Amino acid sequence: MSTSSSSSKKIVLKSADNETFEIDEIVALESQAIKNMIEDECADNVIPLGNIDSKTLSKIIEYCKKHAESPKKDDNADIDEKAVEDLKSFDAEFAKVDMPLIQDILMAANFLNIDNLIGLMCRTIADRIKGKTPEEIRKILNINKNDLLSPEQEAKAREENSWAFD
Amino acid sequence: METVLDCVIPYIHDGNDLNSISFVSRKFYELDCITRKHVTVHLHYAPSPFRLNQRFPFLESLTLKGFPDDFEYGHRTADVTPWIREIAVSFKCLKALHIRRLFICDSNIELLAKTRGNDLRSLKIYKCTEISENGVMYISIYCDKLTTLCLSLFSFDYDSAKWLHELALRNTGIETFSLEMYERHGSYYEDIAPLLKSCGKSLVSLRIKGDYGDDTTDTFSYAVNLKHLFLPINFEFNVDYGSFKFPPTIRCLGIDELSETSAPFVLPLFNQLRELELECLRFDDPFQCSFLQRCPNLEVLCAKHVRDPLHKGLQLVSQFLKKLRKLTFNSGTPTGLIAVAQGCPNMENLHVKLTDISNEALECIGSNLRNLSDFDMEVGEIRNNTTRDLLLDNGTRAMLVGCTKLEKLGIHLYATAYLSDVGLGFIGKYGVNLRFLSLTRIGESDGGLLELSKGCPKLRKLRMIYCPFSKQAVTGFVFNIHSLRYSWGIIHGRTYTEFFATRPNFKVSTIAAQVLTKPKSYLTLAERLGKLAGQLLAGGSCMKSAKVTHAIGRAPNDLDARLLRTMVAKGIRISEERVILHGSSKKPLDIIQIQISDVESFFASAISESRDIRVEGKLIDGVPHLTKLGAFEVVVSLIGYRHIILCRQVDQPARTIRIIRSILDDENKVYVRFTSVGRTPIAQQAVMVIVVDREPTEKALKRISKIPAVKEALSDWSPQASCFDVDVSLMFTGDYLP
Repeated sequence: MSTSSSSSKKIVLKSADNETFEIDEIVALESQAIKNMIEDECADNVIPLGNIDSKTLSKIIEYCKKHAESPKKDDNADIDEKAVEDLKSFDAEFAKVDMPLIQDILMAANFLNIDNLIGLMCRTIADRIKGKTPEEIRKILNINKNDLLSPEQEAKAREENSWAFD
Repeated sequence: METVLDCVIPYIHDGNDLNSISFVSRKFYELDCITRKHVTVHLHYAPSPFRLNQRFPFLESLTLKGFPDDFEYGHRTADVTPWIREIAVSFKCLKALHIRRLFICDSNIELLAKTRGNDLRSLKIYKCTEISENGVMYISIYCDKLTTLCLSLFSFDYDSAKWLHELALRNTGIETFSLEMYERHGSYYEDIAPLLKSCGKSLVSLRIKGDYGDDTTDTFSYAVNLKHLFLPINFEFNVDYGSFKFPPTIRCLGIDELSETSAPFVLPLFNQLRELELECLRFDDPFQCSFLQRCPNLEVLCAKHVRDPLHKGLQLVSQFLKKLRKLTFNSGTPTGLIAVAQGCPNMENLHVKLTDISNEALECIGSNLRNLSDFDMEVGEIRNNTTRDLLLDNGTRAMLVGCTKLEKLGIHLYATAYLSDVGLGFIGKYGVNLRFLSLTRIGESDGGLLELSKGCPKLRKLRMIYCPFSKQAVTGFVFNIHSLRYSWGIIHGRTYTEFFATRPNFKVSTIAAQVLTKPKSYLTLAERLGKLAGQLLAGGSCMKSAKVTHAIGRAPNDLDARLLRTMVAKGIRISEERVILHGSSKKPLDIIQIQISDVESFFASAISESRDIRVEGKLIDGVPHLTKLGAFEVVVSLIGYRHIILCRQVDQPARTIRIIRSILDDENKVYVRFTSVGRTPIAQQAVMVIVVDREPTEKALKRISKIPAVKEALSDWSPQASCFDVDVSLMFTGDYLP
């Protein structure tokens, strides 16, 4: 980061496959979970993230960096629209990945408690499901076919669904 | 996977998507059951309330709906009682209840309020019947944590608005309040005042319908956060509004008219207004034009009546109001529509009434208005019996191809344009997201309906008026559209048939199947007009002579027999009868004109310039219509409806019709089915014909007579009454249904 001085504190994250990532503290603070750790002073050394692989983690760091650099909305009421647009198009680009990775990122973001990223991933999944049939959704989310409703259950649910919407 | 879904579900708002999700797998189904927050129950599919609670035990919001608004069949039978009983004991998380067009009575309200009053944050009861002041009082007493309360259609005596005061005593957090209550003339605002004081900080949206009165107080100074305000207020010339002022926080405003007298009140708001709702908008008034010009941030403009003699209104709107998302505008031309399509790219909701239409205009909508989701256009007047030679198929296709988000579509063609069976096929093919479709005078044959029914995979409601389809076609394949719940309207194959159809039994209920072959309907026309003329006649004791002119395309053959009979009964003698035969028997005009000379009328407007009572009728599409009353041109079907109310006033019909409508509705559920307003070439005068579905009660008439402006007019039914502002005569022309 160009703006960060050498004095800024670094945080080291370690992925499930033992890859380490050194990042500025301000980037790490995007994660509420890490922020809490830092505040509780249990983030002195490396933070092991045993359930996040390096591919997912590097994506998450990419996201956090970008968002940490961008001016926050609360800071300045009339934050220039260009920055907002810029962040928007970054998010849109960021979400253009395949579904398994999106799900991994969502799970990781959920674990690390990064609200914006959870929202972004959920919206992405919701958008991809929108207007799709159950069969298509199964394909999109790669659902195991062992867990389907029985034909009777499905018929009943279908009938009920004719009144239960909106 | 569950965690993922847990996270994602709150982001899925569309019920259809949730329904799809529920079928994906057993886990998804279970998750959907416990996470579903809102369900809309379309009562006709009547799931048991118990089962609904069983499947979705944590529902927070429930909407119960009766039949569609103008689906006349059996809506009074939809009883809410089983639901209220279930809600009283289960649905433990319920915070919001919305009931629409169901039969609901005081005991329902009592049970609901006593058992769930503490839990309910939002209660909306729209277009429901049989609630008295006692019923509403239960809400006031037991619901003390409301943030939203919307009520409409009461039928109680308004001598006391005590419940409003009670409500204000117990509630301090109401954010949205909407009320249709009508007869607290002149002092209505005094009953709202306590609420404005107690909920002043929380109140964000206030909508009042009815006669609000001339508020001269500073009540609104308490409402420091009010953003949406819709008031039936019309700033009169001769009234001192004292300390009245709109709160400076207003973003959305609804008033009767932007008259010049309103300037001191509305001018401070212009720059901040996002929404403007008007009963009447006049482009011949420089103030109103300049005001619109100063509201560049307006996103919603609704004008129920538009006076736009030069037909430049739409152009001006598109020029001034670039940010419009929603526009309701009852006047315009194809050029105007093109201007709007090009000038207002954010448009989502567009309702227009046009003199004419072109394929080019529709294409322009298709290529510019990508976000359009609700489009309704009415083209031409019903009285224009012009040749239909403009085929709209291609324009319609272009529009549907472009506007992929379109969910509601209404096409009503009275003028030269028409849509062929192929065009109906286009609607089916490209209307992939349509949920509501309303068609008037569309298509050529059953084949068109068949084409339509092959598409529209999401259609829920289909309304067809004067479409040339047979009953067999409606029963046969309309419900091939799997999502379709209701279909209703008037179709004509060989005969005109009013029909209402619902999905569960796939059965079309024919209510008024009537054979309306031409000669018979011409006789019906003659009979109706004769009766009407007779009823217009004041005095009636002495013999009057009438002149009848028929303009038809064939020899009369005993045509006048009925006419004669009905008129003689009222003491009228037909002194002169002329028959004008038209050369072409293919396009007969079928006009009847009745003049009664040198008389006085109960309804002064029926008297033309030459001091005659004059009524004129015409067959339009084979259906008898009243087309002229005195000097006023109107268009009202005389078939399928039972009663007519005539009303003349200074040209501000909105306020009057609103009050009359509410009274009729309150009193004995008389529904106003149609109104037609005719104006004189010189402004300021308008006559309104109001078609209602049954006879209003004595009490309703009495209450109408209590409308301040009307009182004297009704007290002595004399022609002099017309010199008052509003002059209402009531005309019951007997049963129209054979």
